Formats: sequence, structure tokens, C-alpha cells
Amino acid sequence: MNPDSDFSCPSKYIREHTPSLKDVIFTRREFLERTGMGFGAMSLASILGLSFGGQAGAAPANKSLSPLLPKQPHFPVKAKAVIHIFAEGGPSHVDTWDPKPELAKYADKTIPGHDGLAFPSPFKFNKMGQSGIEVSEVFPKLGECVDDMAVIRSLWTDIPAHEVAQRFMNTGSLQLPKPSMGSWVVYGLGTENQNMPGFITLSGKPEWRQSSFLPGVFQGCNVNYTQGMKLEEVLLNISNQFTGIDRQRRQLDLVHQLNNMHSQALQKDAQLEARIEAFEMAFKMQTEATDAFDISKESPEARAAYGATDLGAKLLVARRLIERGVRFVQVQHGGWDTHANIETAIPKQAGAIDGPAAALIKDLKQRGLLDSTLIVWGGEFGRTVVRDRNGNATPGRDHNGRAMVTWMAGGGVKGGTVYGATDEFGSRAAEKKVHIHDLHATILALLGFDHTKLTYRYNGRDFRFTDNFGNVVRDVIA
Amino acid sequence: MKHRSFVLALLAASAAPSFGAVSAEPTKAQAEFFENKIRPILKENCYKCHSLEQSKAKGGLTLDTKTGLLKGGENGAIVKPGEPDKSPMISAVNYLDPDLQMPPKGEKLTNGQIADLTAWVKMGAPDPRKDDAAKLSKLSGLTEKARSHWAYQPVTKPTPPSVKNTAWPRGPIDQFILAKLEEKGMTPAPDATKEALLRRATYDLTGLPPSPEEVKAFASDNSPQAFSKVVDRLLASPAYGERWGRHWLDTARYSDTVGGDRNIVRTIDYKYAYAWTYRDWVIKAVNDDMPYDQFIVHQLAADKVKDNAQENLAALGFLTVGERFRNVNDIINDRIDATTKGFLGLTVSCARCHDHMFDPVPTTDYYALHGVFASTIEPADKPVIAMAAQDQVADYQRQMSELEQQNRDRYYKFVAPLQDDFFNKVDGYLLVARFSGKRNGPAEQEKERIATLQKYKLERDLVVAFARNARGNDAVFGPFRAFADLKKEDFATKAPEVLAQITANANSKRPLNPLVVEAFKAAQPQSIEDVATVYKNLYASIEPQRKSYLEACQKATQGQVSGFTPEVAQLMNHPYEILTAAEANTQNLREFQQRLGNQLQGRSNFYFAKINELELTHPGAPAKAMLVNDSATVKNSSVFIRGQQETKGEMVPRRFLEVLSPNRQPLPFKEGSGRLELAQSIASKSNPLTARVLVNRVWMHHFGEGFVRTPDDLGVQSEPPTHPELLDYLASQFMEQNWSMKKLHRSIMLSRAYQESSQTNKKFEQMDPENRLLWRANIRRLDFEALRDSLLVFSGKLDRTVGGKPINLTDEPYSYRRSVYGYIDRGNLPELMQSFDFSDPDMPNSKRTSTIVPQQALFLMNSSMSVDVARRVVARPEITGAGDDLGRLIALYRVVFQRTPQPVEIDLALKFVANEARNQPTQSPAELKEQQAKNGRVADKKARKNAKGNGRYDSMNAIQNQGELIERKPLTPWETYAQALLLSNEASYIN
Repeated sequence: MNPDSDFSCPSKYIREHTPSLKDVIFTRREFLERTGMGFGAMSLASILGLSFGGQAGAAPANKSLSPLLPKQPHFPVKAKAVIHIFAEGGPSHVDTWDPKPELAKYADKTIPGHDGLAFPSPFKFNKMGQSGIEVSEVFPKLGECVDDMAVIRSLWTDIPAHEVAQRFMNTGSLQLPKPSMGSWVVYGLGTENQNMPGFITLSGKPEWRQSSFLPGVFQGCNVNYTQGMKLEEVLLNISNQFTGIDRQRRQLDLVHQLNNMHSQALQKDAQLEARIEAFEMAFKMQTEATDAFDISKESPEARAAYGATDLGAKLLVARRLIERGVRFVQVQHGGWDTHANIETAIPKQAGAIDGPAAALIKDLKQRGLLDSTLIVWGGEFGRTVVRDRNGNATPGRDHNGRAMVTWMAGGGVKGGTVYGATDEFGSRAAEKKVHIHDLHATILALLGFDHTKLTYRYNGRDFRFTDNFGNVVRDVIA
Repeated sequence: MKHRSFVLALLAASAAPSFGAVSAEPTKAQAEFFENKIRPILKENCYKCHSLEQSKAKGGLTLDTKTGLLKGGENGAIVKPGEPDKSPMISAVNYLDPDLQMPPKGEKLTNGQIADLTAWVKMGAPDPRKDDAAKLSKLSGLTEKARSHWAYQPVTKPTPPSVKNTAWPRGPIDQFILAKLEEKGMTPAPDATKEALLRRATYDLTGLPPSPEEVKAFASDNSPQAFSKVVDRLLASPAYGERWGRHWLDTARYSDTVGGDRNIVRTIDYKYAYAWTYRDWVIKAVNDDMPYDQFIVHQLAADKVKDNAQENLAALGFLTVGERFRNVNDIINDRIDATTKGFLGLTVSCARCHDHMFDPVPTTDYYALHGVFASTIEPADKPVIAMAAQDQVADYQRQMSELEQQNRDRYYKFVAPLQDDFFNKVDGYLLVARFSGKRNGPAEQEKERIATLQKYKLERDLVVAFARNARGNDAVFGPFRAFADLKKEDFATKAPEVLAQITANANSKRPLNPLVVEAFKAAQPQSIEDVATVYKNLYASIEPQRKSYLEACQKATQGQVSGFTPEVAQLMNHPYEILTAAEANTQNLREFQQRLGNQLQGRSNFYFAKINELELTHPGAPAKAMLVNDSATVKNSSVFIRGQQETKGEMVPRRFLEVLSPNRQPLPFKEGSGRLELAQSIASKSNPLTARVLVNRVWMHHFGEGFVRTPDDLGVQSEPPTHPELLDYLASQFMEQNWSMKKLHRSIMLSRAYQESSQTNKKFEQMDPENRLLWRANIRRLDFEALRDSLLVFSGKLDRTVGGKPINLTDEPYSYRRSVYGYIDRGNLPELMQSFDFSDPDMPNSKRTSTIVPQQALFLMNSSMSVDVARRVVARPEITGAGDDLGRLIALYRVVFQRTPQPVEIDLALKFVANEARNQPTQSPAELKEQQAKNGRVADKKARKNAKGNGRYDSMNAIQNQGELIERKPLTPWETYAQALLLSNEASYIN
């Protein structure tokens, strides 16, 4: 571990990005440009006495309207959006992405220096792609994508208990409530399409999407999406069950007239103007957001590629969301807690995500979106290389925080890369170890952030996603 | 003077007061060696990441001071003078440890440099540098400079300044405000209109709009006291306590649930059944204008106030309604955080791991308070502070006793098969208990263990539970352990000796169970398996009594089980002690469940959540206080070095914070946990922060911003107050006026500054774009509660009942109660509340953000609540009773905007309504869909039902309101128009 306890972080020494609410927001001019709207031709600068200095980096304008407008990160990068496939439960690394032939020699014996019964993976690993990365046979289709992937085999976490480790992976905090990864990303980057929420989760626990001390608008918007779901129910209040769209348009036009008069009387206060536009966005969101979830608009070939399951449909929806400018999508894929029956459970789990995830990578690539979309797959910890102690006749593996695996694809990731290694048996990360904070720092780096400078001032202290830690794994960045 | 180590980063501080062996003064040659060889190496290769000067301390290590170098980093010392082989620094530069290579990333030092460093360590690491004390303390707040921060100085009462425009001020507040404006050549805005002022004041004090009658009364009152009367009327309204109580609940991180950790929920109730009694106490205290010092004391120590009224115990909810964690230190941290940010505007929780970076709060301060809260307990039995509605009590008690009975039944049903399994396979459980412990054993042992588990098909959780019973000192299973401790090869020779000891049963302090002794008397075990068989046979012999024992326990609703000898009973109480019906109350069953492993917990299926829900929601449930008490044995806490509870530093007496104590010499608390003394130290006129923090917050809620814009942090990191003299003036006046909040409101609201209009001024906008000097009134958006409550007022349906159990704030069927009575689930705050910037209930947050996002618009445009309100507004008698369209419109404007419409507005409205009448749809989108898919409506209802709970009861589900769903038919033209008014900016802003 490299505790990068650089004491500049919680201090006043860094002023690059210490926003309070008012500076996470944007200037009206930018706002109107982005949203393609222009109500009136007022000069906001003259009203507010502002300069619109378009500073590079994350330095925000000093007065602002919507906190969700797109913002530039600290340095230019390719990745614009993230799809996080959260493999909840703790996927076994030695059965999936981390081959350990050495383990086979110790089947049912004691590994030197370890207690318990060694449990070699029952699965074959095959060299895949140009890069020849070895991938378990349980991922035949994803294996074909390895040249677009960086596999980190030396990841590790602090506490191998689900609740804690899941919180850690998703918020960077073991215990105390902190903002989620998606909240940080949307706080830092805003979102591209104001007619869509910026951060959407497709199932998962509330704390994985919480904004905590960041303003509530950065909280993930959850949709417990299934294929059978009614489109008008995907988002809260997304459709009106009482009034048709034509009448609602006329109603909003009236509201604008009332608002313009009200605004005139109050010298066009910026927040009043912002609220006027929020209604226009809301109006558009009604059709745009439901449309994003409408996979019936996809070709039969696309539907087939992602598969007929809800999980496949979720990844397809994830692509449609990213395409529409949503910044961060998290897809939950639970069921990886394989204490027993590795031999049947892992192929089932892997089989569920193999086709859809491979389809996602290929689809994004074909659409020219892979470069700008970072896909992250991984769970909260890895598993032991010895049998679980439950004595199950068809054995499984216990939790293991010292070794775990994750892969990333697209979004500026150096494809065909294997980074780091576990020891010869896979029991713990050994070479070029990557802590969860390091992974977080790397994800932020891929999005253009210096993770030590993406901060939020709360109660007299600047907080970071990576707390006081984190080293960027440069070698997985193209 | 106490030597205080300097702080290196959040994690770095060591509380060790000395740095161990400091080497002797270097010789001249040694000094030269250091200067010529060592310092350049350090400077060029190390300071980049390890320099106090450059504020870089990776791993908690700095090398540019002698102190830092000797002290080392997070992993301890890096140099052992004289012993290069034992110095991590030398190992690191030699790249000996793959996990610790310095400088990193292959920038290894040259062999010559490594040799120099090695030689230097060998000669005793002589370091001629003289450290600058000021430099050393650079990174903590323990400096004189920090101690001299304005907020730590006593509150004074400055004389109001003189002003040029003597006609404008109405009192001291205005003199302070005007003086600042005049300094900058600015002037205050003209007075607000009466309509605007009444709307502002009514929302400020009550969170509700004024009624048309109130507008009329104020407009026609031309007396000089007109506004003063309004303020008095508003302060006397119960709605005032609801509004300002809610402000305090933001600070108090109020929630009705423990938070999102499901692991905790397995063992404790997710919902606080009685958090609302704290909320109601706050509302009542605010309405009663309880002096703020008492308000503080009750919330921290109501249980220790002499002759206190029982109802005041509910105040202790301040401590107990926080988030719950598995680690008790995290719970204590929450309480320290709430107490210090809440009452003192000081972020003491930063000092949990290290001395505060900026404020003069050492870790010892934190652990002084830690001791106070560690000496505080929450009794399981909560006192009843109010009885429920009499007619409901019987039903509540009936439901409760049914649930309790069901739990008891479930308990015996649950335990019986476990006992069966255990009695029948006791040999197997014993054999596997030999290997218990959390860690894996070597392969051979592991194989045997797994083989045993499989052979006997043992219940995993029972194996774990039984491991606790099968200890050497156990009266029943101790003998087995004695045999099990023998090595296999020694068994034959040593077993007779063990057997003899058992049969002699000579240890009078720990007598063995006579039945076990008897069983062994008849035995000649040749192997450990034989020993296990002895138990199996013994248990087989008493099997007939097993069922009757369990039945006897189930029948024992009073007293003990009878009809069984103690030795039989002792054998029966395995693997769990069996509770009698009298003992099997909710508390004991909960504890029983807590002792089960995960799988059994999952299968146990007790009705704890239903009991919790019943206590929370049933109108017949009594109100109880979520109180705390001092624990029987109070104790001081040690500093946890770097916040780690495993590494204890110095013991700190329970006491108040240094910087806020008289002469900065805090005295140890004497009485119990010290909570009362803590409360009194906070609620003290000599405390420089308490009154300032409160005044700043009250000012903030009246003007949109406080003098200091970080209401929970007035420490060194906060910006200086805009009007420090006025803040002090008000703080001292507040204390003089016996900490009366209502008097404070009056002073503020009767000032002319409060009554300015929001009219802008191009020149002043340039000079002071954020209006920090208050040259005008700020335009403010209604917060979530004010907006929702306004809708209810417009609809005429607002239920003004004060207090009571929580209601669902966001889901249909919606509640007519004020938003302050909403159920707040910190583990899953509804999206709607999030999008309207509701305060994060995980920590104190006195200030809401005010964002503008489309989700807010969608609520007003599309929610069934908004539609229902539009319908009900139009159905109000003054609107239905109006003779014509114009009359309807005027009445509508009076309700929603509290004014009459302008001609252009009338024109717009009438045209709109006429046009919509021509375009009146016959069906709503919902009806259309229903028709399209004949059974759509049914499916819709089903879907909604499913979405709510999927038929499975989940303790974390939100509570639901009773009532009807809103009819999905189209709106009339007037209803559509009325909804447009609800959507308008004017309805959502105070100017």
C-alpha cells in the first residue's frame, strides 16, 4: 500500500477546486449554448457583474446556474462517460482473470505458508486475442475483447466483509458516509445532456449512489430496470398521467409568460432564469429519458447480441444512456458470493455477463464510443485459493480482501494489458499492488482529474474521493 | 510545557510526546558530513514527497527537519542510529523490500549515495539541524495564531457606530448595517412593499404563506405597530416551532432510521420507533421559547437535570437519533460531531485521528469528549413520556401481545429441530469442535474436519455456536476438551489419567455435571471418537425428556421450569440456553437472534421488524424517550493514535475543550460521565462560540446568508464575518435577553435592514455581487418543506395538527400533514427530497444547498400531488363561489400569490382558459392507456403494489400513508391554469 498522505489535500493550500455550491454551477451563457435555448437576449454579465473567463482546468466560473452543466476536468482526456458493472458478492479471481497453474500442484494439500485445503480452479484458461492474455473458459466472449481491456490482477481491499467492502469500492470509505464514485464524477464533470439525469444506477444499494455531503443533485438516480417495466415509470414523475403533451406544452408556455413578467419585476435574477430553463429541460426529459430506456427501438440483431436477459437489457440501456450524454451509469450484477459449488456457480455467473458485456464493448467500439466510454468491471473483493470452511461437498471459496481482480476497457485504457500479479498461488496481491484507492485515483485520472485536486469543501475541510491516499496506475492508461 | 508533536497529514500524527533517544550534539566533522553528503541527498531525492516546508508528508514522513527525520512515518522510525541493518531507510534505498523502495519508481540512489547514508546511520545519524518550533507546528491548529482567531475570543458588546443617514436606522442593527454600506458609498434599498414584507415574514417564521385574510388585515393596518403585531402573531403560532424546529433538526441530523448498513439491521431495528418524540420535543421547546441555554442542556443531559419533567427526556434524542455503526467508536464520533458542530460550530471530529489541522483542537480534546460519550449508555427500557389515544391502546396492546406470542411460538418451533439435530449428532459436533477457530488448519486436519462435517451433515452455525460451549471449563463438555487436547499418539497412555480426573470430579469450584461423570465411569475410551460416543449415548438416554423439557419451558410463563433435576436441565440447555416463556420477551429473543450465525439468523424469521413498525405507527403506542444514561462505571478514554483503536496513547480526563475553557485550563469533569458539565460548559455565557453560532444561524435563515457562510464551522478555516461587531452585539444581547430566540427574531425582523426590498442596483451589483453587505433583500427559493406545505395550504387540505408519528412525505397516497412530520430515512432518502436539496441526515447540516434541476420541475408538472392540489384550489369555496371568471381569477391569485392580478395577467388567464375549454380532452393519458390495454388499470395497480414491496415484508421499506389514490382523469381548463400558477417562479420564491 502506498498511503499517499500528502497533507496538502485537506488544507487550504489547494485552491484549484474548492467549490461551494455556487461555483459548481455554470454561467448562463454556457448554459444557454449547451441547452440550445435562448430566452430573451439579456446580458447576464451586466446583471451579475461577472466575467465569463473561460479558465482551463476545473476552475469554475464564480457564479452559476445549474450544477450539472458540463465542465472540463483538470487535463484533457478521451473518457467522457463511465459504465461501472459492479459484480456484487466478490468474484473469484483465480477462476476468472487470474490463472494460477501452480495451485493445481497442491490440490487438496496444504500450500506452503497457508493453511486450509488448496483448491485449484476447475476451469481452463486460454490465451486470448493478440495480446494473448489468459482468460478463463467461463468468459469465452469477453475473452475475445481482451485487446481492448486492461486486467488488474493485483488489486486488494481492506476488509473482506460484503457490506464494508462494497461501500469501500463505491464510496472510498469503509464506514462513514461519503459521496459515491458517480456523485464525485458528476460533481467534477457535470453531465452532457441536461435533459437526462447525469448519474443513473440500474439497481444496487442506496449508499452506492449517495451524494452524502455533495449537493443532492449529484445523487444517482436509480431505476430498478427490467425488460417488462413500463417506460412511463422509469423515472420519478417522468410522465404525466393526467395531461397530454400538447396541453402541457401550452401550460408551460403560459408559465413562461408568467415567469417572464415576474422576472422582469425582479430584474431577471439569475436563479429565476435558471428555473425557467429547468422547466424546459424537464419537458424534454419526459420524452428523452423514456426513449433512452425503450430498447424496443433497437434492431433485432442488437437485441440478440445483448441477449434476452434483464442483465443484457440493462447493458443495452446503459449504452443508450451513455449515447445520450449520461455521465455515469452503474449496473449491478449480484450473485458472485460463491461459498459453494464453484464449478457450477461461476460458469452461471460469468455466463450471465459474458455475452452482454462483450456485446457492449463491441457495440460501443462499432459506434465509435468506446474511446470515450470507460467500462469498469469488478466486485468488492476476491476469494480464497483454499476451500471454504463450510465443508460443502461441492466446494466454494471464502472472502479474500488481499487479492482481487478488475478489468477496465475503453475510455483511454491501454488495451491488451495485464497489470500486477498475485503471488504464485493467487492468495494475495504481490507485484505492483493496487489498492482500491489507487483504482479510484486511476478511474479519476482516466476522466481527466488529478484525484488530489477534485475536492469539495465541507465543514472546514476539503474532501476527496480518494481520502488521503491513492496512486494513479499510469501503466493501464494508453 | 507539554510538548506536542506536530501533525503530518491526516493520518500521520503521533501523540508520543518525545522522540526517543536524541543523539548527542554532532561533532564538527559529523556536521560537515551531514551538510555535504546527506542533506543534498535528502533534498534532491526525498523532499519532493517528504517535506514539511513543501507540505508533503507521504506516509506521514518528513525529512526536512531533524524532528521529522527522527520521528519517522506511519510505520514508525526509519532510522535506528548506529544500526543501518535495522534502519528501514537503508533497506528502502537498497530496494530490499519490494513493498518499500525509495526513491520509488526505479529512481534508485547511486551506490555512492547509499554508502554515504549507510555510513551516516552507522555513525549515529548525527543531525546538526536546528528545528524551528513555529515551522514544526505549521501543520496543526495548535498555534497561538489559531488560538487568537476571532471566534475564540470573548463576546463583547460593541457600541453601534454612528451613521451619516440618521433617518434610516431604526435601531442598532441598522446602524451596523448602514455604517458598512456607507463605508463603501452604498445605500440600502427602499423598503419592501407590505405584500412582499408580509410574505417574507410569514414564510420566515412559519414556513407557510400568509392567508388572503392576513394580507388584507396587514394592508389595512396603518398603525406604526402593524408589522410588530404581525411578528408577534407569527411567533405565537404553533407553525413557528414547526418551521424553526425543522431548522434545528437539520443541525441535529434528525432521521427516523439507523442508516443503510444491513448488517446492523440484522441485529437492531432499522427504524427508530421513537425518534419523533425528539422531533416533537424540539418543536415544543422552540414554540415555548425555551431559553437556548436550557435547550442545549436538555439535549445533552436531560437525564441529569434535577427534578426534570419526564417529557424533557425526549430531548436526549439529539444524541441518539444519529446514524448507527457496528463500531461503537463511530457512534461516539457521530455524537461528538453533532455536539460540537451543532452547538459550537467547531469541527472537533477532525481531531479524531490527529490534532486539528487548523483549529486549536488537539486529539486530547477529542478523547476528553470521547470519554464522556463512552461513559454514556442507552438503556433498553425506554421511559414512557406520554400515553396514546385511549381508544387505541387496547388494539395496540392486543396486536403487540399477538406478535410477542407469535415470536415465542416461533422461537420454540425454531429451537426444537436445532436441538434434535444437536442431540442426535452430538458426537459429530464434538468431533468437529476440536478444529474450531476461525482460521483454516493444515490440509490433513482440514480434510478430517470437512469429512466430519459431511459425514454428520452438521449445521454450520451450530458448529460455530457450539464451539463456545465446548470449552475446557464447561461442566458438560469440559471433559471432552480434556481428551481432545491429548495428542493422538498419547491417547492410549494418557487417557486413563484424564478419565480418573473426570470421575473423581474433585474440583469443587467447577463441578462437572454428575450425569456426565456417571457416563464416564462406565466408559473406557480408546479414542477421541469413543469419547464422543459417550456423549452421544448420554444424550440418547435422556432423549425422552427432551421434548417435555422444551414444552415445559414453553409453558413456563412465570417462574422456573419444574420437574427436571438441575443436572438434566444443564444437559438440555445446549447448544443454546433455552428460554422459558417468561424469559422469551422481545429483548431476550433479540439477543438470542444476535448470537446466531448468518444462516440461522436468516432462517429465524422473528417478527422484530413488525413489532418495530407497530411501535412506530400504531396510534395506540405510547410515546417513549430515546434517552441515555450514565453507565454504571464511567471511565476516561485514551487517545487512539491515528484514530486506530488498537494503538492507545495517553489517557485523557473527561473534560471540556481547551480553547473554550476559562484560561484555557479545562478542569476534569467530576459528576458521572460529565455530560451535564459538558452541557453547562457549552451553554455558558463565557463560551465564546455558543451564542455567536446560534445568532449566525438565525440571521442566515432570515437573510439567506449568515455573517459567516459556514454555519457549522466558525473555526479558523471559515471566512471572516461580514459584520463582526453586529454579530457580537446580537450575541451579547441574545445572552442578556436570557437566550430568548423569539426576542432575537423580533430584534432582527423589526430592523429596517430586514425590511428592505429586493430591488437591485446596477452599480452595487458590480461592487458587491453577492450582496454580502445587504444593500437589498435576497431573493430566496422555498425549500422542500415550505414548497410542499404551501401546496397543502393552497389546496385547503393542510392538517395543522402539531406533533405525532411520522408520515410518508413523498408517495401516493400523500399526507396532508406538514412536511416536518415526514418520515426521514437516512439510509434511503427519497429521490424527491434529494432533488429538492433536503439536508443530508447523516451529519449536522445547518445550511441547505439550493440547486435548480429538472427533477424539481417534474414534480410540479407531473406528480399526482400537484394535480390534486390544482383540483382542490379550484374547488375552494371562494373560487367556486365567485360569480364569474374574473372573480375566480382574483380569488385564485389571492390564494396562490397573496395579491391581486394585473390586467395583463387577467388577459393571459382568460385567454388561456378559453382556449383550453375549446381543447378539452375527453381522456387523460392514463385513461387512454387503460382503454388501449383493457385491463391496464388493474395491471397498473398491481405493478404499483409490486413495486412497493413485492409482497415480501422488508424492515427497510418506507412507512405508507392510508388514503385514496388520485383519480387519473383530465384536468379542467381552470385546473390546468391553477397548476400553471403552482409551477410559476412567483409561487416558489420569496423576494
